[in-house]
Amino acid sequence: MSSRINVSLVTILFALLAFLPFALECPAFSSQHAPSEETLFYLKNLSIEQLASLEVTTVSKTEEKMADADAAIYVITSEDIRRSGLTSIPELLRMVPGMDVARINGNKWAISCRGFNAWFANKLLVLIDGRSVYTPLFSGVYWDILDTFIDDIDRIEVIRGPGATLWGANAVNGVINIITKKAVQTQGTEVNGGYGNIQKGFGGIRHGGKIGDNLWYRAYAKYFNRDSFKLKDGSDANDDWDQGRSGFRMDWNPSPRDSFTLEGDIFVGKSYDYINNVIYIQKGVTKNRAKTDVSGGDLLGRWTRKLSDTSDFSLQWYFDHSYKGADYLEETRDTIDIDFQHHFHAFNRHDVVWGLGYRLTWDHIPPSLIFDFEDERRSDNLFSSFIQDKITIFPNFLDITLGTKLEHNDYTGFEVQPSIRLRLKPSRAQTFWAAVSRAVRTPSRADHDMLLKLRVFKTGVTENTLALVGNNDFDSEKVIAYEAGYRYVPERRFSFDIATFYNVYRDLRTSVRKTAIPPFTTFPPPDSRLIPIVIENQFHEDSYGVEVTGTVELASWWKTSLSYSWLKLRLHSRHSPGDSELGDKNIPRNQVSLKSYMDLPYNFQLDTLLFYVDELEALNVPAYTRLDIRLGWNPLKNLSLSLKLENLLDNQHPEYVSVSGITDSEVPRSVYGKVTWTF
Amino acid sequence: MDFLTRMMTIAPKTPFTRGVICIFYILVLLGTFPCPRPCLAAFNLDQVEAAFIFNLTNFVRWPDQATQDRPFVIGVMGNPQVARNLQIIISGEKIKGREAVVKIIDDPSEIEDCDILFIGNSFKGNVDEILQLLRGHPVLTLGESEEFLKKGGMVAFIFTGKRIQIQVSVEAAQQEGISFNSKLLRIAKIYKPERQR
Repeated sequence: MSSRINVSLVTILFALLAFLPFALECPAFSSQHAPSEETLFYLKNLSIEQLASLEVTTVSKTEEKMADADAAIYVITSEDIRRSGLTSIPELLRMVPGMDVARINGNKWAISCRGFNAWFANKLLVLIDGRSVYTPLFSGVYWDILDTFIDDIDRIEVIRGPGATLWGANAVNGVINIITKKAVQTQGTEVNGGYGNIQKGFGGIRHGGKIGDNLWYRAYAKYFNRDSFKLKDGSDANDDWDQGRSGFRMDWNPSPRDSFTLEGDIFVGKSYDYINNVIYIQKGVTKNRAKTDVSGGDLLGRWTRKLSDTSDFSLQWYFDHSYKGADYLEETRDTIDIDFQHHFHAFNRHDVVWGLGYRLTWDHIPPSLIFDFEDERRSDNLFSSFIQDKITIFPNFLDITLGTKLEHNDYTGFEVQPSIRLRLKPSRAQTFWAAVSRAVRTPSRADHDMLLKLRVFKTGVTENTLALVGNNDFDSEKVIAYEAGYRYVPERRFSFDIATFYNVYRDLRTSVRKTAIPPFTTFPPPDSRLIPIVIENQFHEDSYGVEVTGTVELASWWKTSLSYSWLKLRLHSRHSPGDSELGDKNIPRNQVSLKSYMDLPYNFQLDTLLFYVDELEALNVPAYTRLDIRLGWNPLKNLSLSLKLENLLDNQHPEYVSVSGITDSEVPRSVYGKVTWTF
Repeated sequence: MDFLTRMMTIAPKTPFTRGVICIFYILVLLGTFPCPRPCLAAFNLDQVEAAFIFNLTNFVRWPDQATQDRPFVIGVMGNPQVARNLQIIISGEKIKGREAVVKIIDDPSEIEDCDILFIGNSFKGNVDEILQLLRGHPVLTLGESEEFLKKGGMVAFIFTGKRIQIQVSVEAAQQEGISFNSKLLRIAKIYKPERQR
């Protein structure tokens, strides 16, 4: 009986759903992005009355994409980059609501969102023009070597929450996508330079030109030298650094259907830290100021072909080489990656993207005084594939996106990361979205192979070494994320965005102290014992929070934006108690940021950034408020001068306490002046 | 539907699997229905303006439109995006029986050859001067603000934040012998210049 009711219900439902779309008026056609030619042909055939009754927008494609997205997206625009006066990519991320950006010392950052912040915060995936800068050694990001010619950045798209379907593993808590301008947008020459108390000189030159009818190029070179921060007692922390970098980009459009991009960078630099690993003192190494040499380069090519108005594919490859050499750790790494993506419309309502990828990475990590990896050299393969289908249920009203990623890595084998997203647009200006996704953070080489000596002590004649030890059985960390959000973007002058989430994590990394074991590698020597602290998957956790952003254009010359985020984590241990860098007490519960851009008479600009970051209780870092002011002046069309004051409210403040064997330092007040000349 | 009913009855009996299969069918079926209308992208201001300009030619009479044997020229200043869109719209089209051409105009000396001149709001030069130069030439002048009509322009596309409203200055058009069809006048708002003195 009940099954019969069900069947007839279903039949009725189908009948209803089949006719509803025809009954629905969709005058706005807001959601899907058909090519503009098709739109124009459609508009051309409308009557003049119909044209007059159309809803029209002046919102640009990027803004529209942001307003329409079914995820917690935030875009740092080139205007934000110019007007913030911030000179590095990690510092720019402070503008993103809910992003936890903390300076560990002069040349190191801890950056994460939705919890788990550390030097090697491992749940963010960072890409620059499609190239991953996530390191497979510690599964974090070397923020110090993530750089480019800052004025050439078109935008930075930040998606909070798992972006796993399209972006691959390790996009557990977010994806940061840095997109540089096309070469055609950077024609002409720009020279800039500046100097200040921390910015001990920086400068760059970029030139863009055109060869023939359809090949554009640009090339740049830049250098910066940044002075050290302060220790707690106000003395110099000696953590200064400098870096030089040069790169190019070429865009070639030989036909209306094909476009080719080739881009590359090389860099070299050095930075200083103090190492506070006890072994250095115990082994009598007095010089614990470590110099880190960095160098590297990358080359990326991409071919995009439009097959029809509704279908295209792209083929991308890159090669990346990096070297990081310090007394305590030396790493040489090479990566080759190739990706294919195909996008098409099918049966009117399906918008499908699928792709295949392969990555090979190989490294060389010789043993040092404190580090000893299981193998000096290792290479890893990563095979990945994904498919995503965006199904329009009611055009411009409701759509559902189903997708999954399937990948195979050398540590844990196959990983499946599905997601389902739903988007409802009751009107052009409003978007409701909700999503459930599963994502994983695959083991890093350190989780698997590392031996990090922490301390040596004697009991009788036996030498005991306390060490953090990797685990060959370490499994992926997993999350099921439930997200929902609402966005209201009625026009350019006002917008409102709220996103909430509830994440359930399983098998989070822990380090558990085990009883002493006899030597199991060449180290330590025979009459010694190893007391291992083993990396395991012992923690579960759930977290929830909310991020809100509002933008108001108070006047045609004054834009403001206010963001607030709140976050709570609850940690559960599976059974054994153990130390962990996770937890609720080392994240800022509340964060507030305020942006204000003013256009003043006589081509002056006054731009203000204000950040409030709550205390990190477990790390004993008090809450701080940071105020930045930039005064810009364009006396001529092609000349701009600016004065930037950072961290005006206090002499110095700590933002993070290092627990990774590297001395932390405090962020001082700073000022710099900059000149930019274009011709 | 018969097939569906059969599929449903042979499906496993647990409520969960039945639910999952149900959702699956709904999604797949919905996905294959034809869209009720072409699912087009959001309409940008510059797209709709370009369509308006093309459409407008049906409702305007030029004094000498029948006697011309040169192409019908639409000049665009201060809005290259509208020019690009117009180029796509008019390709292969005829206006008043003449081949249609879009010209991006940089130099004011070219404006007299136009039949229509669109001056976008981001035009940096002196609008008064351009309109002055066109005195005595039957060129339909289009702008994007009421200010434009005040200066002597003929038609303005005014973006109200939601829609495009057309305002026409019948008087300014009449001076050059240009007239508007009554259908256009019904849709448009008629601009009344403030009488001087």
